[in-house]
Amino acid sequence: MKFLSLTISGFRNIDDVSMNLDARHVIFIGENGQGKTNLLESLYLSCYGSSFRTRRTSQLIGFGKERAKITVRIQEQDAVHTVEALLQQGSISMNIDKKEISDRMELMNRFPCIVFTHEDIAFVKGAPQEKRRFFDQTMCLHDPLFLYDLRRYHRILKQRNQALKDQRLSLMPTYDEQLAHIGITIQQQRSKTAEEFNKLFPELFSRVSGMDDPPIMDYRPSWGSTATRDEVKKKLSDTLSRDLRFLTTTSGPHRDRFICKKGSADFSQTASTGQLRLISLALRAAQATYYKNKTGRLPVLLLDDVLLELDHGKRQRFIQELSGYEQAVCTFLPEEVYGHEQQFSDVLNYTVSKGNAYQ
Amino acid sequence: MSLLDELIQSLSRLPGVGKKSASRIAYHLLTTDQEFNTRLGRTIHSIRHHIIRCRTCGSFTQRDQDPCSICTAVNRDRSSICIVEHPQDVITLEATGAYQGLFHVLDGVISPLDGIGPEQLNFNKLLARIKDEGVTEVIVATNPTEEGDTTALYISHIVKELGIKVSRLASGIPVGGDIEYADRITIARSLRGRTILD
Repeated sequence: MKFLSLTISGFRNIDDVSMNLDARHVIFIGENGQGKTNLLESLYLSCYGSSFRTRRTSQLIGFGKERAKITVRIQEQDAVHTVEALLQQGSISMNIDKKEISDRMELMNRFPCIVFTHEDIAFVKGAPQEKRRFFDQTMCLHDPLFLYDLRRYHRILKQRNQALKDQRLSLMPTYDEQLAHIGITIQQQRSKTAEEFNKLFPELFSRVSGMDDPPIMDYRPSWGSTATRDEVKKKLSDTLSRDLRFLTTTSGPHRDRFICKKGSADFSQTASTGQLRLISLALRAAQATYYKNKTGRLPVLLLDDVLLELDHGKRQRFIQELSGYEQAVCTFLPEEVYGHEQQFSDVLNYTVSKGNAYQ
Repeated sequence: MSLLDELIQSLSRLPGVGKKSASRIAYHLLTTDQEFNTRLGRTIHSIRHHIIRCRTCGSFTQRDQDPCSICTAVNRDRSSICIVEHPQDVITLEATGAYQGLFHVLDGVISPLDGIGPEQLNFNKLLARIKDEGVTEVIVATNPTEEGDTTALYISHIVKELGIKVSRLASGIPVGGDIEYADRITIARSLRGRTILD
């Protein structure tokens, strides 16, 4: 897919902007706080119906504005689609070709785009849920049923936790069976993805970093890697007294862990900040390749200031790894941009200043 | 508040009626013939007196016919009970003409987050009926939501102990529907729940 044009009104600091994006590379150049990331965010929001920076819609609407509107034209295979996002009163409504999308799940996988940001470092060294989020995203990108299963799992988990608080013990066998059923599906999917992912990611990381013994992403399911449905049911029933003590379900895919492991040690504990950054970049690059391998389609890449901290050699090698995309939209600081024009062909440059973009 | 405002506000509390529809209805009632309004008012006023819950299955019935016509029908298959969430589901299933057994209305689904457990639903009577009426098959027709699934599974746990067959309504692409127009999740789910052709 590829963005052809973008029109924004009332979104963050962007009052009114309309721009052509029909190129393989689109570059937003500007100082900090001018609106470069807001432009990337608007493109991301058109694909997913949500932001990668906040869950609060009110933060996305410009100061003093009642609503914001983003319209993009997207080329997907041979068709051109118009996607509209309307943000008002705390909610986001999405339209594709004037038809309203009732569930964000419908948007998943429709317009694949992958965002690279500084916050991605949490996928390596953040809370366990951040690491799960990365792998869950990787799966949701090509398998909409995975998101469906995740949602169902979390809904049932919430019900079970409430039943624990209310001491509704007669419901436990029912919830245990439901959690075991959906939970094992989720676990199997994660395990398969981690295995496939580890065929891509370490090599990719080696090529960019020059490191011979790259880390892998080790998946550690809370129920153990070989548990059957009956074993999980038994485990849940055996640990009921603990669950009742904590008033929450203490095992399951919501407690699964992913660890960036080198040898037998947790690499995130010893890696330098630069290495952590590079791992997070390589994770995203591998995510894009993984998507391409799974679907045969090429995603759009959104790169938010992430090349900043790489030295020249790593930067070049990293860009080479990013070849599997149909379009890349990058942000750069003014002093950073020089030298990229040789690396990128088919480029549209925009200077971003005070919420406006000029060619 | 004027009487008109009050009417609009009351109407907009009805399910599926927003503020806009409520005022359309209210203005319509202002201009339509008085006899219609009187009849409508009288019907609304007396409906809860005349229509009551069937003491056996929990669906709606006339006050002078309790148990309801389905529960008392002599030609129905008394060996199967179809369990539904709401009384209106009985009408929907009955309209198909495809089911000849009995019904049982739970009046909701198990959802601790909403403060509803089995004790809040019409379960005790269900077990008594299954035992008393010699039921051999229970069909669970709860909605395909997480809570509908929980309720169905809970029923199957307690009913299977009695040695009774339990089944659930199938879900997937609507009959006569076009795959092209079904949403992606429905299609993906249908693929997962596909059946072997004999």
